[in-house]
Amino acid sequence: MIERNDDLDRRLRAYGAELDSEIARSGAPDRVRRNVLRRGSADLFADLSWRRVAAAILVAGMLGAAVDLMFLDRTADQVDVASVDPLYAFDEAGSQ
Amino acid sequence: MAKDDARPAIEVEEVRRIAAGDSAAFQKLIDREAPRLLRFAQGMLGSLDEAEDVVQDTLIRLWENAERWTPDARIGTWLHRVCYNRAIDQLRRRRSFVDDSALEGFADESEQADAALVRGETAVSVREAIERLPARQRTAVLLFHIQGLAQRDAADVMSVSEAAFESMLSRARRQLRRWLLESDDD
Repeated sequence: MIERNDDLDRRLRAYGAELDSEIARSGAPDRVRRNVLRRGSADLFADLSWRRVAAAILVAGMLGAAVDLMFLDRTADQVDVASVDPLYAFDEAGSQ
Repeated sequence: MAKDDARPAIEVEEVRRIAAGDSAAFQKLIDREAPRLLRFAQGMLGSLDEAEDVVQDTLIRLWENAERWTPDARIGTWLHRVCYNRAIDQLRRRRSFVDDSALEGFADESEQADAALVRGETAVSVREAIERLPARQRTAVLLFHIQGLAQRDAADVMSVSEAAFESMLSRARRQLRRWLLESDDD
């Protein structure tokens, strides 16, 4: 008999416990964690737009050049340039 | 009291770490809050599958908006509010389950439940009785009695005044007592 508030409160507590045990049995919290973390990681990668990637490459190139000039003490006239000309071998052969 | 005062500071730090992309902090929050939110969403929707979708959306919303979160409410209360809004959206999609009038105002759906009782569906468990309540009354019962939120926080989740919340809860309890009493008599 539901005659006093205590009885309703007791039934409501039992209902809450019933929900808790159903949820635990179903494995829903684990599925939620897995799916949320997967979607969260996807969002993290989605933030890596081409502008950010391009900016990162540019900054890395500038840092590389700075290191080259400052720490290795290499200036433009000291840089060795290798020129690869695929027709050079034919020219050599023709001139002989 | 000191513990209560300290709690928001801990939450601010937790959300700050989440905003910085700390997935370990986020995982810890998921482990703590997901079971509670699932219980609330399942109570509102009566379906664990739909509850899972709603809770996932709620937690993703936090992950995406952690930078903009302001500690004007406890994180648990904020999550309940988002979860509540998502669940209401879900209920609106199910037009056959509940209509907008029941969501917007204080329209009473108890007549439908009475009709169900008259049709012979008299063995009403507390679960069935809660599911028969209008959505807002059901939410009030869930937030206060099942989730254990303070009346002020529960009213905040539902965006109503404390007086309006108290009135909803009182009507819901009266209705539940009546249905369950009738059920017990049978």
